[in-house]
Amino acid sequence: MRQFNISGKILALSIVLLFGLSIGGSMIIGYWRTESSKIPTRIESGPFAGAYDPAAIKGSYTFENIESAFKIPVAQLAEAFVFAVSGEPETTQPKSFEAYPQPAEGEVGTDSMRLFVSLYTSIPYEAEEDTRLPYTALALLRREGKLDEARWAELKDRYGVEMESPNEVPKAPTSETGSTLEIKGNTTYGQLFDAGLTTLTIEEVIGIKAGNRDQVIRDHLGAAGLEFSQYKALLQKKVDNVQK
Amino acid sequence: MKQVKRRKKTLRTFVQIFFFIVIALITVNHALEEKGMATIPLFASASTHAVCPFGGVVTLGQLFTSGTFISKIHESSIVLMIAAFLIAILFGPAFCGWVCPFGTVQEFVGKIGKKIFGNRYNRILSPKIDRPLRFLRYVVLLWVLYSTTVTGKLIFADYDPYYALFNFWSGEVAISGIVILFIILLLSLLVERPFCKYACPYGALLGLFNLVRIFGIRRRDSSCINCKACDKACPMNITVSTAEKVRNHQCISCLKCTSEAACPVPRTVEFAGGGKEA
Repeated sequence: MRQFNISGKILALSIVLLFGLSIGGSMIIGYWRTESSKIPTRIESGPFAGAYDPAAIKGSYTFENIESAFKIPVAQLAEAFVFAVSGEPETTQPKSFEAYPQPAEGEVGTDSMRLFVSLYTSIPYEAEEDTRLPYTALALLRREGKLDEARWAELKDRYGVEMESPNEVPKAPTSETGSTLEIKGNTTYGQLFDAGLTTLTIEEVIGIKAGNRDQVIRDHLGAAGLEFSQYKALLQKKVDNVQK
Repeated sequence: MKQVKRRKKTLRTFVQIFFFIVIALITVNHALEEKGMATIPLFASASTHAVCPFGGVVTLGQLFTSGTFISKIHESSIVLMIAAFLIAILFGPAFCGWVCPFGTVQEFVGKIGKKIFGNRYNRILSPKIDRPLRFLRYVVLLWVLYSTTVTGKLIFADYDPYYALFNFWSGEVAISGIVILFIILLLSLLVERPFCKYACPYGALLGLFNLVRIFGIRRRDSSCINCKACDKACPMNITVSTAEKVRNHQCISCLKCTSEAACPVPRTVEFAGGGKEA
């Protein structure tokens, strides 16, 4: 049998050709992909068979991708993860969460989005041990009726964390005395807004939609069956933080 | 003869630079795109992981068991993995010697080391220490395959100097990756291709193809003048001068030892396949 010699030139050509043909061939048959399809895989069996799997959400998915798969409006995703929305909510990606200041314990990242979607859609997903959810996300789930009171309280303790929101821009105190606002029984939502709290921040604490400017907080909470005294201290803490 | 050798040597360098530039532009484009900045025209955009054939290898376990890719790996890695395997079956780990941009960078840094250390360059470690260390990369390979399959994540990315090289400026690289990159570049001043020799998991896998490849380095004993020029030229410190066929798991098919390059006698050390010469 004859020996076949390969020169450097032939080797170089073979390498370039093999790579070129492989890439070109896979492009022709439509197999070449350098990024994920942005469509999560579906659950194959069980009661949720056929549904998109929250576990398949990747960090590169945009809020828009998640909306089209799980039917969660972008506006609600942006509200839940408001701390990470600095530009267009549609193009915000869960992988960007990690770039923001994280809680002392646990992490708010792509897995937080998976957990949120799971809770929103009731499609089961087991989050990682150190996964956390912003209070804003939990408040939205509660407001939208995705969690009952007991479940909300349980999840708040287990996953809830405070994430610094870009909307929380400290403002100068505007109470009558010019000093820090002290929340009392007659304090209105308008006073909270004037003290620098956003609607989202307030809702994150009380877990329901905030009232009108002129509405007294105690009356509004009482009408919703909530005890004002339970939320007074939390709201006061928020006000104190903003006015520091 | 000298002129011909210089031309051949330049050919491999040209191929290396070509692949380096292509990978660099593609990955830089991706990072620019991620940051919402203007991209380089005429070049595609893909992450470093998407254009690394080793990504195809580490995702195989998950691909076979659940039909999905591990995080950050896509179909392109499978295509490149198949191409690299085809090349390896034919020519051995030519991917390492001709394509891998990180091998290229180590080689180029090594040229500076060669100027600084002269003959001591790439001969610093004693064989007693060097030989067992050459098997370390198989330990790395097993660890990477195991941890990736178990976690479904690219665990190695945090330690991968190749990833760090192309992404160090993006803010997405773990500090461990940057430290390892820095160490490898420093070591490259003393040892040729230290990462390839001691730690590269993909090099370890491709190195196994040296045992079965169709075309390989062959030395004709009858015309060999035993000058050991082939040994001196080998970046991986393989003793070519005593072998008829080089089956060493560290060969990267760079052809530096052949009669096209280092060997002064024509048709004595060749890259060949098939039976005995007619």
